[in-house]
Amino acid sequence: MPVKLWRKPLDADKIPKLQYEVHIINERCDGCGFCIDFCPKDVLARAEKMNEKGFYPPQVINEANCTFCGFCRSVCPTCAIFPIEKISRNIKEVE
Amino acid sequence: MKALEALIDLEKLKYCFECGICTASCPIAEMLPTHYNPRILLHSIHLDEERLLTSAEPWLCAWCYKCNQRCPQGLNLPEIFRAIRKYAVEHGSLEGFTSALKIIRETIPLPASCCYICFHPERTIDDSKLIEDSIQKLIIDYIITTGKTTKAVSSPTLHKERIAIVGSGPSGLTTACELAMKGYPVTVFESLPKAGGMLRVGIPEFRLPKEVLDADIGYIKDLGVEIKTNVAIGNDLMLDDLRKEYNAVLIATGMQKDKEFNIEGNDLNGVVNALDFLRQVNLGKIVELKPKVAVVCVHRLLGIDVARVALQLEPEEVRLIYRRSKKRMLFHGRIGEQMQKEFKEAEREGMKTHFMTWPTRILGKDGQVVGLECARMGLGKPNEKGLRKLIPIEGSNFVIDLDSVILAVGQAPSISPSEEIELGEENSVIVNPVTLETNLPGVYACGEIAWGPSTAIVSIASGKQAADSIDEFLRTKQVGTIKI
Amino acid sequence: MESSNSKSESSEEIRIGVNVCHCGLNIGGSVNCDEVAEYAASLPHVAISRALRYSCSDQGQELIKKDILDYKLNRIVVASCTPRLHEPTFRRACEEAGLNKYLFEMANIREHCSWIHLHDREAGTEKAKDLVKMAVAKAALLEPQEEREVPILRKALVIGGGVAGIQAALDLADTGYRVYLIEKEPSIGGRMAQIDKTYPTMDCSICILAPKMSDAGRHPNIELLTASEIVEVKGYIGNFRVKVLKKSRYVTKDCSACGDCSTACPVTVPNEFDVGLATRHAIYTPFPQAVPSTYIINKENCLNTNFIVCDKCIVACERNAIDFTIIPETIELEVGTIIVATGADVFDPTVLPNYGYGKFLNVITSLEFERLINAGGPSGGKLLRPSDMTIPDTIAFIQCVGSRSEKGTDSCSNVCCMNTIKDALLIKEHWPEVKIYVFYIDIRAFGKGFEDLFRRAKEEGVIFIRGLPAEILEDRKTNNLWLIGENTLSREIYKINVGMVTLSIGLEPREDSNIIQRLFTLSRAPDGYFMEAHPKLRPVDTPTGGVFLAGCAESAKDIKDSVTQASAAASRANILMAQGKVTIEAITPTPIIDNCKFCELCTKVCPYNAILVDRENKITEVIEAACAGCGNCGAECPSDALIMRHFTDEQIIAQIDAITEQDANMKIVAFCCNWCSYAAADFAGVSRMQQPTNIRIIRTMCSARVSEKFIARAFARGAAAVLVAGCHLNDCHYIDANYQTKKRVERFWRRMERRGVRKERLQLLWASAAEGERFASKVREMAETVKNVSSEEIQKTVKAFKKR
Ligand SMILES: Cc1cc2nc3c(=O)[nH]c(=O)nc-3n(C[C@H](O)[C@H](O)[C@H](O)COP(=O)(O)OP(=O)(O)OC[C@H]3O[C@@H](n4cnc5c(N)ncnc54)[C@H](O)[C@@H]3O)c2cc1C
Ligand code: SF4
Ligand code: SF4
Ligand code: SF4
Ligand code: SF4
Ligand code: SF4
Ligand code: SF4
Repeated sequence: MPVKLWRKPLDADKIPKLQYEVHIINERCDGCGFCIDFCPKDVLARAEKMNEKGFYPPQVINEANCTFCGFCRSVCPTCAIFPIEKISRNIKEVE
Repeated sequence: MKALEALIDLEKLKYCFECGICTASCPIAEMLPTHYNPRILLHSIHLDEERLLTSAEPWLCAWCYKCNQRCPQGLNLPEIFRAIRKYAVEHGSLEGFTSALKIIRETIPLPASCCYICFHPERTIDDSKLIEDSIQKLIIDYIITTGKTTKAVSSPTLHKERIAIVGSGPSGLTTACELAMKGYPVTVFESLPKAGGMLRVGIPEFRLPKEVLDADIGYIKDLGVEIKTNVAIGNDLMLDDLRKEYNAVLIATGMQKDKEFNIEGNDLNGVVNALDFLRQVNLGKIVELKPKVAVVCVHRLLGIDVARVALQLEPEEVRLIYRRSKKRMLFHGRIGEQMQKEFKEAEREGMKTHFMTWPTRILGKDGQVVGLECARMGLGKPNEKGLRKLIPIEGSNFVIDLDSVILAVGQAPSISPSEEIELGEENSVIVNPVTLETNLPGVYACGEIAWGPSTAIVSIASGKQAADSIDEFLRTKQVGTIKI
Repeated sequence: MESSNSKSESSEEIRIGVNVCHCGLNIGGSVNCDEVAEYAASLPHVAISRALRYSCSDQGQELIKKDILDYKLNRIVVASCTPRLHEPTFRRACEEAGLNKYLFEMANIREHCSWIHLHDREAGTEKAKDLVKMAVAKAALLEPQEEREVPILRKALVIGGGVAGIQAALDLADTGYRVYLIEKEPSIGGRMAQIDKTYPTMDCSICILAPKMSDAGRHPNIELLTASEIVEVKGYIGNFRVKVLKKSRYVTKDCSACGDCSTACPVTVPNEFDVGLATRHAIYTPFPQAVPSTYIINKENCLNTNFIVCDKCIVACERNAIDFTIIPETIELEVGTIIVATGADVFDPTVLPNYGYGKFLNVITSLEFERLINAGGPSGGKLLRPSDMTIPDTIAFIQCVGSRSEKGTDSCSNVCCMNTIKDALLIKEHWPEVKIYVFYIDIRAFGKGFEDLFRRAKEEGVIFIRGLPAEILEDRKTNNLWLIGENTLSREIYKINVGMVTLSIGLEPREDSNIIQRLFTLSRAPDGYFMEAHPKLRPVDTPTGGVFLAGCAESAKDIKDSVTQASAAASRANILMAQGKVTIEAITPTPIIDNCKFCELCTKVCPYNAILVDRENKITEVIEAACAGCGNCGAECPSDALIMRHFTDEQIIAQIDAITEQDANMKIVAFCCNWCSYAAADFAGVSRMQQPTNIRIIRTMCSARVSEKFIARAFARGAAAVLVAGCHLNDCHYIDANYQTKKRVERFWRRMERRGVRKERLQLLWASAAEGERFASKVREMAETVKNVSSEEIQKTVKAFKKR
């Protein structure tokens, strides 16, 4: 059987891993949940609290996973969610 | 030549290519480098069959199967050595056995107990009287060698550095014994009322008579080792206290706890863990059982031991519940042999069995166990190791009426006596693999608390290693330099 | 069909010449050949019988030819070695004397007799007589046959783009053939592209491989199909039809390999090419010299699962080379010859818990070492240990990890000793102060220039210690490793502290070998590598005509040997294609329309769909080009409507009758298929595995030729036991024909049960060509059964199976 890959690659720390922030405008959300379903990296989940309109907006549970694909922004019918790039930071600091 | 080769699967013998892995794995070869080398013993089968008849070596294998597990060719050395023993016995030669006993007495700590639980001469010599007598003589020999009537001579104190040992199991006692012989004052701390660790409270009487263990411990006491029972380090006394008072501390607390078994109802009255149960019985705290008992068996040897101990308390019925088949339970290998023997005994004593069965929950009433719901298991597809996955058969659930459940899952490490000690996988204590020193200077660990569950002989070898290392540390005040 | 010499199609008198070969002392040593020859002379139709020293020698063949003319012989029997070896030789001799080659028959009195009865000359001689009698009985019924020629397509397929595959493809392409080179990875190059330097010359591996790779990529005669796999193979020698699944790269030929896309891709995963020591992106090229240089997207890693999520690479690519709409396609190729060069896997040492691989960071494999020390690798060619990226002061190499062991492959991997010596020298060259230990059992420096290299390593101060470590323990503080083992020369235990350990992992057969095996109906040796047709004389041929082997697919070997073998395989394929045609053995069935009931049972069992039955027009037809001659149909047909040429019912029954004429109650009538079980019996003979003398083997092409009536015939004639042997299920050389064997034998068992005959007396054995011992043990076991069969029991059985 071929060797399994188990190590953290030696250059893993040197790869600039960009970080992103996901912004949610709670009061705009209509609670359709598209963003939650379509996010390829499982960044989002349903929030526990309702918004003023009586819907459950998304909530960010795993921001580090966001790859800035922008898919949430594209599917949101009310433009209530958008990712932005964090200002580039030193990797050491991030860790 | 032919006679012996006929006993052994000769094809396999030829394949040894002398890699030395067996010898370097062997706890006996580690302790008795001048007397024992399994690799070379294997070779004498072709070269020097005559010598084998009288040689002590085949009798020195302690059935730990470490060599077999690691041998690139999968040679089953203990089985091959058994054939040699048999060959010698059939030729009327017990010379090897006798000289082996002599070597064991002189060089192996806890020699009498080891005869019972490690060397197993009874696996070749059917005459149990002869074995009993020989071992009895070995115990008496303690007296003869020292020339006194009842006591071993305590070695003269050559060193003033004091040593504390936490835990009086085989590894702790070994280190104590070895260091006392080197002339150090040694104190052993034991949380239980009696010394001996698992040998005392884990292994049932029918496998190791307590008086044999007493003889061994008596000998160690006579060497001048002080054993303080009923003192729990980390509770009654702190590790820091020991470190202040003693020049070196050894942690040899073993794996006392039961592994957790996650099942609904495991907190009910009448549910006990196996090691707890054995401990209580061995200390005389449990003398009676409720009438209907079930032993849930994950760890095979532990399960069968518990069942047999329970049977001896004579409840109405004892049931053994095992997930896989009977064949699998009595599978060969290190414990297969023991299993087959014990299983036969247990069945004779009236044990009932449920194979391919696994509990789904423990049923209770008013906080008391009243039954055990079980499901029958079916076999799934084999995984890459060829082991087939077990799948509960739907709708096969049934309930056994009973009033005690004993969970035999396996051992977990004892709580470490201090928070400062660095722990590794599954809460074992991390040590330097060669010196056995922990992250705290002057504090050592050996036996199962450092290396995980294994056999007594492996723990004893580890205790001996710890003794050498502590001695070196105290004499040179520096971590050992190792020869290549 | 009643007795052995009653019927013959031609009116001409049958005159058989028998030649009993001494084969020097090989046969003569344990069989009295003169006596056998004398006996043969007394058999019906035998016109001349003689014993020869070496019948395969020129003189021997000349004599046979002369006999044919002098004595007007029209059938020839040679009793010598296995027909798998010399049948073609003698057939040629017959043809040269004007005799149709299908009028020749062989009795195997060497592998199946003298070599397995070395110490019982008398019984061996008696058995040899029987074997000759069987051959003569069959010979009397032989018919001349016409062979058909089929054209060979002048196109070749090479599977596996390692150095062996590349070399074979280039050789054939340069000769002028069209070559398809199939590689399942994104780039060709194989193992050799991963390694740093090559022993014994210390050339830079990729520097010598890259030019070959780009030659292969550019060659007008080579079509490169990377990221592709074979899914189906049909046809036969000269006319294979192969379906290849070409996975999508999602990048078109416009890619200029600028790498802009890769830089933009947000996904990072471990790079398989670097054994996980370095990262790559979801769109990537495995290494800079990759051929084709086109980038590829790994769909499993890519975020763009539904065409909308991510488009970073598409945006980054200025040449618009990225196209997510490309779909995988299945291509059908028609080729005449095939070269299998699929290479080998490496052993996974995580199965050895005592070495801590997968747990201790500083325990690495030799393959990881190659990437570490490679200038293009993750550490830029610096020897850094993974735990803290420093140069270790000591390095240990452990040999034979997973080779010569029941935990991996039994055999020696051939490359790891020299590879370690090479690595040790490389370290010494750059970092002379690093101390190096090599723990070994044997250092195998067998090749040209190897011993020199070994000597140099010793001169450079590499320390060789005999005895493998029993375990590796990690010092948690320093991440250094302790090796504990026995120095088996000084008999002392060593405990050695080192900064890094390299496990010299062995090579092992590819995980997916069984797929290739099934597609091409190849055989595998006990260690799992593909088996050659003959280990010495046909080392790159396979049992399947037109399919050849090269490189590590055949056995573990180094680059030089892989290349040598690749050129050899190319040349073998070239010979076939240059001839342009091949003859097909005349062993296909002939339908007898008058007997046919049009039940279509034959069509149901034919693995090749080679029979057409047209119920309405009352036509039953065999498509000869598709038929492989297994005989499954013949065994299935209830109406005797299919005559299996050269393996007819009459011929086989004549053989059974010859066996059972005398002392049947002591004999085992065995049916063995040509490819595996007969070869297994041969192998037992070659290995001189001594066996009882009861067995008499009848060779058929496939075990599926064995019809139940043959078994019944043997029992009705009083045989003590019957053995039916074939290839392992799924290893059948006729796709799955042996499942029918299984069915028939099981049916017969039920019949035996119903008639009160012990089932043990009919045995079914699956044995591969390498399982000589398995075959021999079966014979020994059955000989014991034979002992327990009483004469009353035989009487009863005879009655039970006598034709009613
Ligand atoms: C660590 C290490 C170091 C070595 N060092 C040396 C050395 O210094 N000198 C030396 O002479 N030799 C060395 N060798 C041996 C050398 O690597 C091999 O001899 C050589 O690579 C064999 O070439 P190959 O073409 O047979 O196989 P490979 O190089 O393995 O190529 C086989 C190719 O076939 C492809 N393939 C597999 N299955 C399929 C399939 N079903 N369909 C399509 N494609 C498929 C694979 O992806 C691969 O690209 C070393 C080996 C190792 C592991
Ligand atoms: S940008 Fe993409 S990955 Fe990030 S939260 Fe939105 S959908 Fe998920
Ligand atoms: S481990 Fe096995 S192969 Fe190695 S020396 Fe011991 S018996 Fe022989
Ligand atoms: S079983 Fe244990 S004691 Fe016996 S030889 Fe093997 S390693 Fe040594
Ligand atoms: S689509 Fe995005 S994730 Fe996929 S390869 Fe292109 S850049 Fe990478
Ligand atoms: S080449 Fe050397 S290291 Fe590799 S398997 Fe053979 S003997 Fe062992
Ligand atoms: S069953 Fe076999 S012999 Fe019959 S037609 Fe098919 S391939 Fe040919």
